[in-house]
Amino acid sequence: MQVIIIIPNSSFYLCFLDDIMAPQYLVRILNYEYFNFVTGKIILKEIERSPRYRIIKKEIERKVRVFEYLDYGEILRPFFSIEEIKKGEHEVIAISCILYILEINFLAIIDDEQAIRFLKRNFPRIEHKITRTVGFMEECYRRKIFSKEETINILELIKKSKFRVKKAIIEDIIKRISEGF
Amino acid sequence: MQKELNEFEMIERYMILLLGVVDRPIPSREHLQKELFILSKANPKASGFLKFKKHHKGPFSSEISELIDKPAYYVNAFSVDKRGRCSLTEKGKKIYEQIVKENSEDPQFKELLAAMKMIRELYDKLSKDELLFLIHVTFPEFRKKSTYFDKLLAKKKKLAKSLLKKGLITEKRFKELASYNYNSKQ
Repeated sequence: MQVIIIIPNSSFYLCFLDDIMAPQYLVRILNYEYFNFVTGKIILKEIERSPRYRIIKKEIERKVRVFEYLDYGEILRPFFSIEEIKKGEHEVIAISCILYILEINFLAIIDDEQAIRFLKRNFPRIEHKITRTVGFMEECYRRKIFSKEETINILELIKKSKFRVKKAIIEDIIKRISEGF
Repeated sequence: MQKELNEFEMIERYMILLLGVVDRPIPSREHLQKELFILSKANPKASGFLKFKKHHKGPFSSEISELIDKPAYYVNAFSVDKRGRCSLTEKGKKIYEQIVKENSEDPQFKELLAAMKMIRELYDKLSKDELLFLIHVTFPEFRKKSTYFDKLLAKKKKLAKSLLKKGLITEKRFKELASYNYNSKQ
């Protein structure tokens, strides 16, 4: 199996840490041998603000590479609001674009609707390389990181939490997994 | 790129790379200035060579302004047409290809080119006013209070609407831009 680079937004990490409070699942994803995680400085800063960050601090330091050579987020800063910039969604888009141009295999996780819309309008070539946190759970199931029961359990926890996602999207994924694909 | 190159030669090289990375002219001198400014913000190494000062039209480099017309190292590499569109001459294109060839194995150089391509893809789409408005608002530390910026502020709603229509800004950014004034935070 080919190794793929994963570029999650901060919501992905915070979903496990703060929303469903199940960091053990995040640790398993981070340790999957065919995923290489990368991030940017702003996203990292946002995750570090979580009161539970210390639980996964060591794992993040070991498994997530911080892109440091270029401050990619600066390229997109004029196009996003101050609040959006603080969350770092623009950083995921910028890193994704750079990796696409460099022809590196990657999958990015973006949950913010406006950021997704911006990406679709300006970089339609990479639209198929983008998923949401809940969509990524389906990918984890497909790769057998989690069993069917575990995946459904995680998705149910997300559904009940304050994580911002349309319930219908989660229900569709649960249905697909339950029916087996 | 090699460190021992003269500062001005390095600036000319950055200009050649930005102009050559996409096969169409940069829309204006202002676009050339601001796109290299964004590059300097994104790439600490480039910021060592590309120096910008406060100006009534936002960040400005007198070196870039001079070298596009009179390059000191790569003579006849650049061309600026009557509408201000900047491009590489045939000679400039050959120099671009040579620089790319010399650095083709350097991963940081590849990242630099990718970043330049991304800058071109986005910022070339902006009109001159849209570009200057976005840069003025995002980097207030590089603007001088001027009648020019006042003119842009007078049509901020129109500019913000046009940016939103093109899909170049998010709705939240639209709201910030449409209500922007001198005291707004950035």
